[in-house]
Amino acid sequence: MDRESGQWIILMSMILCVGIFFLAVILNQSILVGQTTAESALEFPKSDIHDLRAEVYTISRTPAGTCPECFRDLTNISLERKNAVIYVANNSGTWTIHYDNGVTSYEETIGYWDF
Amino acid sequence: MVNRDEGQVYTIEGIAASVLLVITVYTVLSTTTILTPGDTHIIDLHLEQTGNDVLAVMDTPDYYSDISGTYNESALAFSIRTGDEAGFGSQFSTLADTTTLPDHPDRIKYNATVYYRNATSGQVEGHPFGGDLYRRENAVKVTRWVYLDGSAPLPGYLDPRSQSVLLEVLLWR
Repeated sequence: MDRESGQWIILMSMILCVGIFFLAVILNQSILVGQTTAESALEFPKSDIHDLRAEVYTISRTPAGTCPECFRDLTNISLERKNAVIYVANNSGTWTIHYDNGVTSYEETIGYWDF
Repeated sequence: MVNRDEGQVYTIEGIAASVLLVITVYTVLSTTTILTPGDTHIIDLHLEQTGNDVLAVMDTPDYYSDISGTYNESALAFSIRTGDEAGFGSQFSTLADTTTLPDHPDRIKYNATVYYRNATSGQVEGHPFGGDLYRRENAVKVTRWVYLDGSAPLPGYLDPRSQSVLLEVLLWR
């Protein structure tokens, strides 16, 4: 009888160790998921696009209604400081916004500002 | 005679258990070390969101003159136009403060720069706009386009015209 009790100890220890091992793997993966999520959220230029849109809206509300020099400012400064290509144009009341930072690109044509 | 091969079972048990324990301990230890970068990213993400929100709030006019919503100068545009670095700093710090206790303010530090296009040279140039001394801490950068109306007097480093400037703010704790 005593001779076989060792087998049970081996079986139990194996089950326990495999269980702990899988729990550790799951914990490991969950942290990786948190990191990649935060990284992709940091990388996506949500705020940049919101900001650009708000700026174009502000320009459209000025007494002059447009500002070609501002469009040049946006293009030059963004290329120099933010590594993004921006092109904004206003043709007879229709606004065009083009944004591309190499990973994300965004296009919009606005005929009427309703937000 | 009967118990001659009892030792083999115990040897196998010992080897199997030690191998599994070593693998488990290694996995647990490596899991703990991966925790740090994931944590830092989430804190950076939070700080960047806070900074962008604060700048968006400051760049929103307090009122609109009529229902069509014509242009009014925002607090941020006013600070840049008048060169009021201290006013910008105190408003920014108040809004970025995540604590509710006035005597225990949050220790978010910032350093701001205004980037503008010089039309005569065609170059993009920067002008410091106050803040704390940056000593290579782990920081995030938030930016905001600010429209400055040319009908009001502008500071000397800017061309006297309506223009868009980029305010860059470096944030760290």
